[in-house]
Amino acid sequence: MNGENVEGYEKDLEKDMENEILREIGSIGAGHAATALSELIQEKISITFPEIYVARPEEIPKVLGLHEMPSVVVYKKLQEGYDCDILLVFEKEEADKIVSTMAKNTFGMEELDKEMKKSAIEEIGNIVIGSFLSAMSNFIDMELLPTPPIHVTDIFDAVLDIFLAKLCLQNRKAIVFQTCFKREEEKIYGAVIIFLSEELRDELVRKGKAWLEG
Amino acid sequence: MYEEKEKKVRIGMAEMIVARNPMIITTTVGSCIALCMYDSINRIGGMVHIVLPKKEDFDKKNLDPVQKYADTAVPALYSALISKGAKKECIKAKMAGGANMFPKFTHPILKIGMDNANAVREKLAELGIPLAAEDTGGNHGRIIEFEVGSGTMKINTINKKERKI
Repeated sequence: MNGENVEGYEKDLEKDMENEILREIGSIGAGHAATALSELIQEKISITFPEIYVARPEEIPKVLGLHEMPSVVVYKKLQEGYDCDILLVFEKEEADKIVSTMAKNTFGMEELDKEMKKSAIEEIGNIVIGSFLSAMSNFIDMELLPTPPIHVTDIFDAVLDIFLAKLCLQNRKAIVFQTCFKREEEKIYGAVIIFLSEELRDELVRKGKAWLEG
Repeated sequence: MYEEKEKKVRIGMAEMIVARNPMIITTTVGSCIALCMYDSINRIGGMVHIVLPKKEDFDKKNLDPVQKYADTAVPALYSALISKGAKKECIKAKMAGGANMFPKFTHPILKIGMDNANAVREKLAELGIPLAAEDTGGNHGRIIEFEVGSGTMKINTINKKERKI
């Protein structure tokens, strides 16, 4: 192994370790988000261990592989300083199920009208993304405040492309964090997808390392 | 329905493909543009998935593929069709996409869809390529299927009936 290769190998190891730290921090947030979702729909929800993808923005649709999936996407971004977009994504059918469960549990109603459905979806976004961020905030001792939610129902890749175009405009790599929800014995697609800015990524890694070192 | 022998190929962001009949090219766009060009006499067609309007504005280091930007993707697709055997005088274009997916949100990035469509129109006009049809703007995503031989674009959205242009 020549000197250059050793350096490259060490850099890769360092990146691997940093990604591992991010995944650990993310899994704390994801665990809390899953609990919040379980409480909302009164059903057990588990999570997959988070994945971190670092790629050119235009490669991300292939990495996520959801393409034409009809989706309900709640969008929030972090306020102040960190340019970081956060998406809560559900397959449309799943979102409909969650909203109707909420309608029964929370409002005692069989069905909600269009406006109420919209509020319910955005409230789910507030609760799930909110618990994700507050768990992470507590762990790293940084305030992570999101903007109010906006949601769209559309084809997944079509919703995604504006976020990727934004990264392209800023000449940024996409650092994507993804964790998926799983309902027991049922395959569903629900996920929190975060486009981390490099600044926030580095800050999370720094705080995570400091925590590990005690 | 397309015949079974027709191959279906998906392209992603900043990708381009040119083929002879029979082939169906598909992609999904929100603010991006699916630009198709075809020569229906010689049955050759292609599609490029455009992300941003102008290369020089965003790619100062010249690292990105030409397919990513409207002003460089239009001539790239045109040249690729000609290399494949299409005749200049027979080539027509169609495009779809350029939506604003979050109309209630005010970030300047959200007008990128409109800017993309304008940049494509501008470049087509400059090169004298007729724009036979377009389905652009709005607040919805589009699933595109392009039949290279006939130049037909099928456009599906989440709420509306399929449209053909």
